[in-house]
Amino acid sequence: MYQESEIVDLLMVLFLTPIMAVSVRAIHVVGKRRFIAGYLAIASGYVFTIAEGYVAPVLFNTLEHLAYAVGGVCFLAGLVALAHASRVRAESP
Amino acid sequence: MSLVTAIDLVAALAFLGAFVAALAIRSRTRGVGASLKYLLMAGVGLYLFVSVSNVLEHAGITSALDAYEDFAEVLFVPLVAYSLYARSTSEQLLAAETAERCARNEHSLLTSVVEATPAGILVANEDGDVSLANDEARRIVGLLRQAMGGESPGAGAVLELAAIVRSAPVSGLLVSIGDEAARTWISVRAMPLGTEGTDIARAVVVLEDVTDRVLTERELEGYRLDLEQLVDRRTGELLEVNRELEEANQARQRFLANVSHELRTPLNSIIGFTDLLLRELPGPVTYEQRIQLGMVKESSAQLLGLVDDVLELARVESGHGVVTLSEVELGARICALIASMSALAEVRSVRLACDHPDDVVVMTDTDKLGQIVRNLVSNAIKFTDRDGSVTVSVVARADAVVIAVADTGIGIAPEDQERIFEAFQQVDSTDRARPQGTGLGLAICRELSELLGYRMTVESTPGEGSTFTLLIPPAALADRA
Repeated sequence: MYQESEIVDLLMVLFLTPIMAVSVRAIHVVGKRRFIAGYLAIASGYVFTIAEGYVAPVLFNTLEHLAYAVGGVCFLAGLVALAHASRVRAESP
Repeated sequence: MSLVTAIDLVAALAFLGAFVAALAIRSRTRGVGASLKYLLMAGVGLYLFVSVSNVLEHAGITSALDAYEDFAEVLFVPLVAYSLYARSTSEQLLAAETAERCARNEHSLLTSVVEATPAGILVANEDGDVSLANDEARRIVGLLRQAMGGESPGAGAVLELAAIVRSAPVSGLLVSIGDEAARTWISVRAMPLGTEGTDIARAVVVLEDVTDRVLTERELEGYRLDLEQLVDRRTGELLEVNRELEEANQARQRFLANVSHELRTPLNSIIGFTDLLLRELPGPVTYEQRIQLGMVKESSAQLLGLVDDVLELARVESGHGVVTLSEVELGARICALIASMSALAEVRSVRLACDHPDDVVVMTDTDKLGQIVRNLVSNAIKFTDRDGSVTVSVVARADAVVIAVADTGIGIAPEDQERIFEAFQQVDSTDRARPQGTGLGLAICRELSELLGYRMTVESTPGEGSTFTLLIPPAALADRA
């Protein structure tokens, strides 16, 4: 069965993601696509968390943790690119 | 280690790396721009905590952190949303700052240009209200308003700023201020500006004090008129002088012709009667008388030749020489002419030869060309010693048909080579036995060759001989195609 916090997480994903989708188009940041991928991976982890309470718990539990791992890798890649770009920009005259 | 534990370990290591990378971000701006770094660190830190908690839980070490995982997960999405909002705001602020800085720079540049320019520049609307003006514009507008205020009676057209703005674009409008004694001239140009959401038209008006230029132009115009009058007067004087010269020339020609004619008649009588005396028709003459009569006859003939030459030169110089063109086989014609002069060459014991390897047909005046060649050959024979030679050749070159008269005579010094073509000019000769000419032969040759459109040159080396060359242009070649 689901926990209340998991439902709150899912609701926030469902309500805030469309709003964020509008904002994210207007900003320019290095590694933007990797950050978006990391966010979506973590958001999908929320779905898998709730799903594991009803069907194929082992599979969805594994998918949930896998989604977090993918999210972590994406954020790592995005932040490495962003840190590199910021260093280059800071050293330029 | 289970699969989930291994995945959690990967997740923990990835988030740890991401957290370290976020720490390494260098921000050039403070405030909202810099806070993005810390927001990213917070978001990544939340999931670093979640993944570490998962590792500890699934590895069977401790579940103590599990109770806090939910809080971390709940915070994540709002944190991301706020990060995006902060970033968006930061970029908008940055863009606004950049735009403002650009606008300030441009305004500063524009102000500097407007103030530095020597012309008066102002911005006015259709009501005549001035919103921007440099010093020069204020000075000129002050003058204009003073003139409009009636302080300067006799002012010419004055500037109506409102009218100028309404009729923009305006170019080349000239406005004068003040009376004739101290008039100022202002050049006015105007370009319309946008209304910026209002219905009032605006324009940039450029005012330039062109008094100096206008006065200079007027002065130049005065000079130009004076100059034109002077040129007209001088042209009239020159025409008058030219007419007088023409009359004098005609009088000279008439005089020469009359004198020559009056000389020929008694000379012919002298020669004729001398000849009768020499033939002893009136009666016998002594040996001494024969010698003296011979001298009279020779001198008379020489004088008659001189008169003939003077007449011919006067006729050519007066421009009355009529050119009659006909086709002539040049080589054959020249050689026939040379043959007729062989007796003269024999008397002087000079070899006379003619060479015409090319069969050239030209359109020319046969009589005048013959006279030129006759004079040249006669001169060549006269100034060539016994056993010398005179060779006449006719050659067709690409650039001209060339008639060359070459002799092995006494030659002409370089300083005399141009002078000999002038009338009555002769090369000094110490040889008293050499027949004296009139000094007109080469002058007549030069005049006739110019009349025919030919060119005559001479090359000579004193003591070795001379070559007179007549160059006939290719245009004279007869077209027999």
